[in-house]
Amino acid sequence: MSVKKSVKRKDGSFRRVMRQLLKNKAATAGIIIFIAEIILAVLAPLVAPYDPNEMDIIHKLQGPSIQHLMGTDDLGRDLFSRVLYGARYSLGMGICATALGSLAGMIIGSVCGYFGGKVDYLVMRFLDIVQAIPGTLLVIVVAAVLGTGFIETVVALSISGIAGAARLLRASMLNVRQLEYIEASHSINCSKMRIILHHLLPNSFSPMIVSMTMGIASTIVAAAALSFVGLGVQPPTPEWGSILNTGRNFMREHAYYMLAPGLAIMVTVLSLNMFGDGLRDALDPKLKN
Amino acid sequence: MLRYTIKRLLWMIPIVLGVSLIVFTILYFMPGDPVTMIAGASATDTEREALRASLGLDKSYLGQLGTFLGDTFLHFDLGNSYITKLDVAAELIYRLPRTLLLTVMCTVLSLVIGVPIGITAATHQNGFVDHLVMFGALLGVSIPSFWLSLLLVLLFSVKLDWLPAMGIGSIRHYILPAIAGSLGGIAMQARQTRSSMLEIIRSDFITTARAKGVKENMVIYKHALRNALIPIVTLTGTQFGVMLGGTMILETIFGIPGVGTYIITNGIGGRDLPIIRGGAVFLAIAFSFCMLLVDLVYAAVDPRIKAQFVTRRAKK
Repeated sequence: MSVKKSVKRKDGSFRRVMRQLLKNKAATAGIIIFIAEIILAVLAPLVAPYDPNEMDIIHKLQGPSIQHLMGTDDLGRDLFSRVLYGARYSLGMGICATALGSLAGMIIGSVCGYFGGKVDYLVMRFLDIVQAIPGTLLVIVVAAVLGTGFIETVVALSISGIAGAARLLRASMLNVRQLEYIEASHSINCSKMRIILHHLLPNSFSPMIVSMTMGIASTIVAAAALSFVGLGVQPPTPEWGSILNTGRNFMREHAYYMLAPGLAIMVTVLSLNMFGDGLRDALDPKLKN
Repeated sequence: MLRYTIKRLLWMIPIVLGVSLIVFTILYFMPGDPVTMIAGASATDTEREALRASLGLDKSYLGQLGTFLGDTFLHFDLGNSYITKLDVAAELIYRLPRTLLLTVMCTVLSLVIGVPIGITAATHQNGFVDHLVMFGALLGVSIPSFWLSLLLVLLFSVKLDWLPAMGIGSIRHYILPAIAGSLGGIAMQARQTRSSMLEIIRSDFITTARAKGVKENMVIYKHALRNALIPIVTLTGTQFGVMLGGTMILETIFGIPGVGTYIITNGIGGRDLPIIRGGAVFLAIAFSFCMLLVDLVYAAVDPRIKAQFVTRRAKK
């Protein structure tokens, strides 16, 4: 029994994927940077040299120095501390909204993928209609209706991901559904719930992981874009997009102000994209050139 | 092909109606009472009720929806702005050329720069140029366009004073927004072209062409590129559609009074419901027509799609 298990583990797809991933330097660097950012965000109260909302008007709009690594903003608040705390909001919104949208999409996708037939046809046509609305526009309209706030923004951001996630999961489920082991589980009278949750979902999940990784990146950008047009979370919350939006007013004389939050967004998105690319190659060796 | 085209065109009717229905329903829940906004706090209750009735806001959800759909599709009337009282449809048409110009510039730039870069990367696979291009493309996909816009303004308008930062006086005003809006597209085109070229370059007919002694440039540009073109065409069409619906932020930054600024500044900024609703329905319909064109071109180029569609419908 123990021998059997160890043999099975050696060829396990998880290990193969991890080995592939670790060989890919860009992907490894990407995930290390992203995890480091999460740790910094969680430990922000310990790492940040100042309170992110503490004003110090005498020292306002000072360029980067030893005391203020990224300078101070128009109210004398330390930009480095604000960017650190901002990671909590930006990363948090990116991760929450992507998780929420993917979860909703997965429920729809697995119902469609498993049952097929009329329900599937109707839901897919409905998704066609939803996807006919440009993503940016949909997010902005929903955000305008829901109002500004952390949870409201997360919900608005998650909506644009639902249709894509549903489609993706449904497509890979349709492939897996035809395989012998699903027929086998039907024949031993597994419940529908069990087949979906224990057999279909785990085996059709890998494209979802890649799209969720990339999804977090695009959601962080979308969240920043929302603050940029005056929706999304509002000042004085130190969200990256909102810092950037305020910094834009001072860009002629104080360019460093908008550099820090923009760089933070770019580094995060870049690290997630590097990891996502590597993950896709590792999960699907066919795609690797 | 004709059958497919007709079916696809007919399918546009439920799409357009459905899109309008969704946008209407979402915005129905928009907080704030337009009557209070227009009439002001000093208005009497009778005045308010009269105004509410004249705007059609006293009707039920279904009644309002019916009026909206009827006005939109039978009279092509998207209503009047609450604040300026101007006709929304006319305002949108008036602003459309600027949005369209920016979208076309971005799409053309992505295609003209992205595809050659992708080909170069593919022909130098795993070499220095390839790695450089692929890293550049990854960077290009990762820079948020609104931040890039600010950096470009900082460099070319504030520091060097070469190009204007705001407005629409001349074609020069569109250069910075077009660069900012197309960098991501260039990067995506480069990645797409590279991967589809790499797939084609390995096929037997390329080997055959080389064996016949066809010059390498001919092999790449005539034999390989032609066959790698399908995904590039699709991406170009999709990019055009996405840009059309997504130029709002670029327009806001560069002060281009296009459709996007109208929706964001006048609509959302002023809580002006007819502008947001009309603008969103307008853009969504324009976007779905772009997607329709992409599908039709795609089906014309790739017979497999058409066949798939016909058999799926035949089964039903």
